[in-house]
Amino acid sequence: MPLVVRRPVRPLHILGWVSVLVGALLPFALGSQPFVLQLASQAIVAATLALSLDLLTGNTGLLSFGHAGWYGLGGYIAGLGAKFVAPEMFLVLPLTMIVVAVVAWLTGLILVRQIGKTFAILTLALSQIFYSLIFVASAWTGGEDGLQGIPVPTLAGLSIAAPTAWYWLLYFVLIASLLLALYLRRTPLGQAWLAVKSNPERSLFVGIPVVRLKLIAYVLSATLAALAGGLFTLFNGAVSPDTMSWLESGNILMYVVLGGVGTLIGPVIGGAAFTFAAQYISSLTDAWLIYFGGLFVVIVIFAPDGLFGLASVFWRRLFGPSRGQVAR
Amino acid sequence: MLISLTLKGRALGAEGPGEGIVLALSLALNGLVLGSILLLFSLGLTLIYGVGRIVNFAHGALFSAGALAGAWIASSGHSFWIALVAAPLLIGAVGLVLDWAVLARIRDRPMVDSLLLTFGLALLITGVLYQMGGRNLTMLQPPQGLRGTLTLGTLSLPTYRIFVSALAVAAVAALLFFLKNSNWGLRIRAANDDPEMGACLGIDRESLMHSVVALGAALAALAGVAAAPIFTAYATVGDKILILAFMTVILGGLGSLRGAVVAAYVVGMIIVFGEGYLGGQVALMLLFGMMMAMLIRWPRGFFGEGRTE
Amino acid sequence: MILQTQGLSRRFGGLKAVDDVSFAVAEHTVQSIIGPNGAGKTTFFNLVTGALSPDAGRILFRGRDVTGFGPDRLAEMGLVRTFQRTSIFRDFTVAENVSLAIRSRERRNQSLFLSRADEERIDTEACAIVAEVGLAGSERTIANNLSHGAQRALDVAIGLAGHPRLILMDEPLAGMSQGDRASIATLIVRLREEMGLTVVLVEHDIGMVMRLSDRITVFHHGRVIAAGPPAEIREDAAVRSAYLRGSFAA
Repeated sequence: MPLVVRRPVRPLHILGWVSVLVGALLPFALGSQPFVLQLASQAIVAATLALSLDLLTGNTGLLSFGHAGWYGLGGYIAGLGAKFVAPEMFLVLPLTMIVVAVVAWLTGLILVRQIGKTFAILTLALSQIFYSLIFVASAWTGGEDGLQGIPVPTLAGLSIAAPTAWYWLLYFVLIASLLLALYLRRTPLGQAWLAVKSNPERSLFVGIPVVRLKLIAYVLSATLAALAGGLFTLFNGAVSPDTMSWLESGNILMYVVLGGVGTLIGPVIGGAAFTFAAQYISSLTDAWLIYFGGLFVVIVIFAPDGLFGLASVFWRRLFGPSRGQVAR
Repeated sequence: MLISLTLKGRALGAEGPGEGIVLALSLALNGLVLGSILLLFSLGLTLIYGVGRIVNFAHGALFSAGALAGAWIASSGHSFWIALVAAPLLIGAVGLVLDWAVLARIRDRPMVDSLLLTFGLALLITGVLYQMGGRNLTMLQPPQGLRGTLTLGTLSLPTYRIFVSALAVAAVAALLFFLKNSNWGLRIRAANDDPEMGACLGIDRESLMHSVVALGAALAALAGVAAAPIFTAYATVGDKILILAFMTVILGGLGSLRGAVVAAYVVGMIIVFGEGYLGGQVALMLLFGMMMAMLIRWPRGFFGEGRTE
Repeated sequence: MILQTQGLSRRFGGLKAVDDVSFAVAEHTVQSIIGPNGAGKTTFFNLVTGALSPDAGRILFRGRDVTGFGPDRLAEMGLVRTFQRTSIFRDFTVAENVSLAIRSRERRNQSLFLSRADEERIDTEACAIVAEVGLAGSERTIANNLSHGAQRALDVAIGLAGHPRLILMDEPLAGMSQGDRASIATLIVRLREEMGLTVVLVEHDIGMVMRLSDRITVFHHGRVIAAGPPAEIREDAAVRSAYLRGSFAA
């Protein structure tokens, strides 16, 4: 696409690759602080999750209020697979992704045809259905106590237990997904997605199969969220039904809104930054949810393009016109 | 834990043929009770949607706020009746302030922003309720005269549940009457049919929207405090109701008043019967499955009046 | 006949918005649909372009029964439309708007790879189409920054990118300035003369309709009350009483 070629991205490119490298070397700096490394791993999962939601919301404009449902579903499927079949990631994780992709495709067939508001309501309801499922199947899932006793998983036969190994594994998945998402943005599919987001009616009359494109984004988004959930569950050794709660969905939405809907990189930064901030702020104050909800409201009112949106305004002033982000 | 709106204890094993019928009738009565509460709650949701085109994700938090406010007022020594009146007034005022201070800022923004904003408000209100002690279950005792059980042959139902249903039906009827016959109702209906038309008729949308959100919040709180003796009161008690109400407004058609009336009782019946025979979680899944099936065939609700914009 | 409808009907509640309409358009002509507000013109348009499905009747496009086809399938077959309220991709550049439609025509909208050569070929074609509608020089402008008239022209360019056989234009002159009206009218003439397209217009500007059209169909209360060349329509008594009331002198 000409637009990609024309974008003055050189300084951004360099900045991007430097940050990727810094991220990869982080465990060496944190060797003596296992707690921070653990938190960093969580931040990476949050970033992956945020990216997965932005694949849907940023590309097609569909807003999901139940994204944690896919995360939790992926977590439970991977956890059950590791516990009752075999704790091999090359077996369990693809299986998780396939099952979730099929579920997302079947529900998506109905959901993505609805208007945006109905879609939003249905995503919330669907995540509650997954939540209910955990309790209906509590003989296997452990119900309210969560699924516990998941064995230490292997990756191609190698046992993965060291925190640094986990960090790199999670980091690799994040960077690979981010590169994939950025690549997709440049393909005809990615451009057609933006067209659907920008003007769905016109897209249809241009001959773009709007429903199918929305469905592809929906399935992709759910599958990546499930992968993040599966990885985190294996990393954590347990998964609780709380991963599917609407508060958790609110968190994911916050990462994306905070980072800037549709920027792909913004939500990744938002997810990571927010996880750290939440950890430190919630240990300081009891009223975490008030600040969280308040911040949510303030950002929607005053900075609807997120922090990345604000940053890109300054960037444009510095480096001339850029089209890093499609207007909402 | 999520949706066990256990109106009628659990495990109602039906052994004999006679007991089966008694159980079914008893469930039907409880379905009416839940349907009435749901109706009272959903009506505000529908009105706010109809006039402002806003899907209010904070509606459940307002229900919780009403329940807790009622329970706290009663526990501070006031009578149940004062709690029943004061809590909706208080939360109605909160709604008015929220619309004036927050929702009014995004009137002309894309639809996405209104969804995000009310979602953020839901988090905020829940946080405030937690902070005020809403993590703990608070009981609200029904007033003396309504504590008994009404028995009709082999059927029995707590008197308070009959009272709640009657109260909800009366409130809804009064509201519908006002919508039909008052000047205010006329403006609501005009704005509901077509916001642009409403503006042409010289309707001040700001004050109309303030009144609708305040009323919607008060109705949610009334439902919350009236249901508190049944469901108890805590900061997330409204989450369950919100999910059911969302299913109600989709089954009835987004923005359709009469659709919501019918759908509230359909949802109430499905949940209570599902709970009685299959367990609460299964009931919710059953309801969701039905809603999905309905969306394939009748995407605009029971009366085909749902909004498509 | 490139487009034909037979007994097309659609009701909304008790209202017969389109009532038993049989209509035909010959290839390489400009045909206009006129009628008072609420005559059913827009509903008819929505039926023909697949945005609504009819309660009864058939639609034939290029000899094929396309009743019930969606807008995307019709676009693939060569039937495109423009909108009363200009409908473009506002945050794309002008050339990108058109490239998108070209890729759509080539069914590359779901592809995950596009070679540089293809990219350049599509961009070149897009720029050529942009020039054809008179927007040369604005290829790299964000569409939202164009003037109203230029946006309408871009709307047409997006339609042209689909290699249409038939283009339906919903009130192309509505809300345009005097200068923009003239250039849109010129464009409509060129669509037929130079690009060999068939054009169906819904338009209120009777003077313009009389000048541009080869044939005019008059709608009233959801039915066709007259059809014929402009001169004939001008003399038609039923049209005069229903709609024109002798109010035009053109």
